[in-house]
Amino acid sequence: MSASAWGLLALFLIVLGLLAWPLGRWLAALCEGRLPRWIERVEGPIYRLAGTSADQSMHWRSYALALLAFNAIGALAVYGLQRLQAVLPLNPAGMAAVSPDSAFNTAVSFVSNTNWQGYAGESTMSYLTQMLGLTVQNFFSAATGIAVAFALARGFAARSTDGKGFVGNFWVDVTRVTAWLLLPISFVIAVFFVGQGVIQNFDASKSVTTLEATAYQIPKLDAAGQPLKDAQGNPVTEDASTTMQALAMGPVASQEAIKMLGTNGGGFFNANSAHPYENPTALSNFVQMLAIFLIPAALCFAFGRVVGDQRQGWAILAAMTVMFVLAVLAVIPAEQAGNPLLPPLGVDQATGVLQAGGNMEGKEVRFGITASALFAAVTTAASCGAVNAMHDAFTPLGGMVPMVLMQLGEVVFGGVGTGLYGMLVFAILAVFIAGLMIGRTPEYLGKKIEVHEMKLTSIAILVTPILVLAGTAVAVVADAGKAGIANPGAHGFSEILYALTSAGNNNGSAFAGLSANTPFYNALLAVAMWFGRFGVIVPVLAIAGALAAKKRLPVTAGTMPTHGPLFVTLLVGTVLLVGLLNYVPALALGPVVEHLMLWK
Amino acid sequence: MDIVWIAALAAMWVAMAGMVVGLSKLGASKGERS
Repeated sequence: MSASAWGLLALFLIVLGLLAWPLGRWLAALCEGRLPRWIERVEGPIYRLAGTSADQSMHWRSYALALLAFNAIGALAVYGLQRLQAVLPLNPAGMAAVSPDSAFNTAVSFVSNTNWQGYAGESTMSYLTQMLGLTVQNFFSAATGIAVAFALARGFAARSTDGKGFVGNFWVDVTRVTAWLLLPISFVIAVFFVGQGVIQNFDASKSVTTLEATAYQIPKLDAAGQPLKDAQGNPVTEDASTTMQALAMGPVASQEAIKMLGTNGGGFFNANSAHPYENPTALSNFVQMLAIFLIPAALCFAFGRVVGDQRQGWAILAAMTVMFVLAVLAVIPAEQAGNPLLPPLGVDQATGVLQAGGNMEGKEVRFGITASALFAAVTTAASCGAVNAMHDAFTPLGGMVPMVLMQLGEVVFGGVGTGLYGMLVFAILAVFIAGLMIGRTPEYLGKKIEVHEMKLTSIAILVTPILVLAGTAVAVVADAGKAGIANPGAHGFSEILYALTSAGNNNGSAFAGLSANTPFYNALLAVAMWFGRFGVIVPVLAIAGALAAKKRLPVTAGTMPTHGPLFVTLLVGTVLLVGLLNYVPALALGPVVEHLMLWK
Repeated sequence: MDIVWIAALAAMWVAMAGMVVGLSKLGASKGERS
């Protein structure tokens, strides 16, 4: 890696640490309910009106059912908005109703914090749908994830037990996280983005005449709207030319801020953070990356405070950072190495004063290799899914890194809340493995890990790989699944594997060559997103309840320390081993084969 | 057509509610019973 790449990575991690540390204090206060008096005065009447109270804790079952009801209502609201947008206000472009299958997919996608987008925002969604449907769910889905992390942290922190497994109040958690965390920080970031040039208006699209005609090729579609292919399986295209360009407008900055902060990732525009109106400058790009990791990193510090031992939070953060840096060290050199087939054609891929060099296909010139590859690692390590470059155009190994980061279960920083609770589930597995090796009943943070917790942990860890691998298998054998592939062979398989990996792990990024806005993929991916989200949340809440009902044991000479380098190594090894064992065969059929074909 | 997709959403919700009920009956460890 170049010195500038090392510098960018180091600067990113340092600034992240400086911002996340104080935010962790505030997150811990929110989790423990240690709020300023004026906030309690504001909240009190609202809770009374809603028939609840900040002191009214819930059993994990009630917490889970409240969470599911809240998110189901959210999904129905987003579905309804899309279907009715043609007759609703704030639709200057006169967008028609979204098709039922696409509306279903998008509703599940935004409620599950995935933000997979089978549609192009600027040509599909009205401003009302973007703001009242998608942006609102950006806040609520992020708050839901953080609420679950709070519940699990309380389960570990509970000292005295009444045996009932109370984990907090879901309604209070969602309200506090939304009002006192996500909204204020999003406001500050949105104002900053406007200063950088991100647009924020309600204007209709502007038509402009370009200086010269643009010739391009478009995929030829059959009567069913599917891309046509020739006898060799290559896409059939036709020539087109234009001197007109429509510049899409809209309230972008306000959506962009929570899109990154809430690790949602759903872009206002189809090009997402590669679009100059979403991410115009190198500085806005840097802040977007920081916003993605800010809450996941701060939650580690908050966890340490809540359980009364800040070293525990540092250990979780250290494990995440080690895996993240390893991923960055893989993806940047892979992209900087370029494509070996291009130099014989006279293409100069060397780094120079005037060019970034390397594989610039699908990347923005204003970001270059390093900021694009680092963004790809950040957005897939966290379950964000925003992109500032097209992952489908990465080199095989460069594209495999984002895929692997998702396949590890979105625990390398991960989504807001999901990253912490996912990593804590792996920590339980790690202490269980260590317990087996030394012949002691495993124990984590003073809580005995017994058969019940291990059953729940196994379910939480296995749900996602089952969804991803079974879904991929269905897609590669079904005609409707194969019809969406843009590139035949190993890369086509990678496109499908990436889509299911992204959906099942609630990331939302894509190898966008896959034509996924079809009833088949809209339904399949929605199922993966829904169960990948809530099929993990429910067992995690059950673990929280089981832990909350246990006594917290004192530390003794026989207690395995879970705050030192040995435990960090064990945790990293557990995450990598489980991830690799699940997915290596599938990866071998996709990006590994493609790499060997490219570099033969 | 909308009713089909709304029904699918309802079915997925019921599956998750079923998971909540199922996991609560999965069996608690000694600590949880105490």
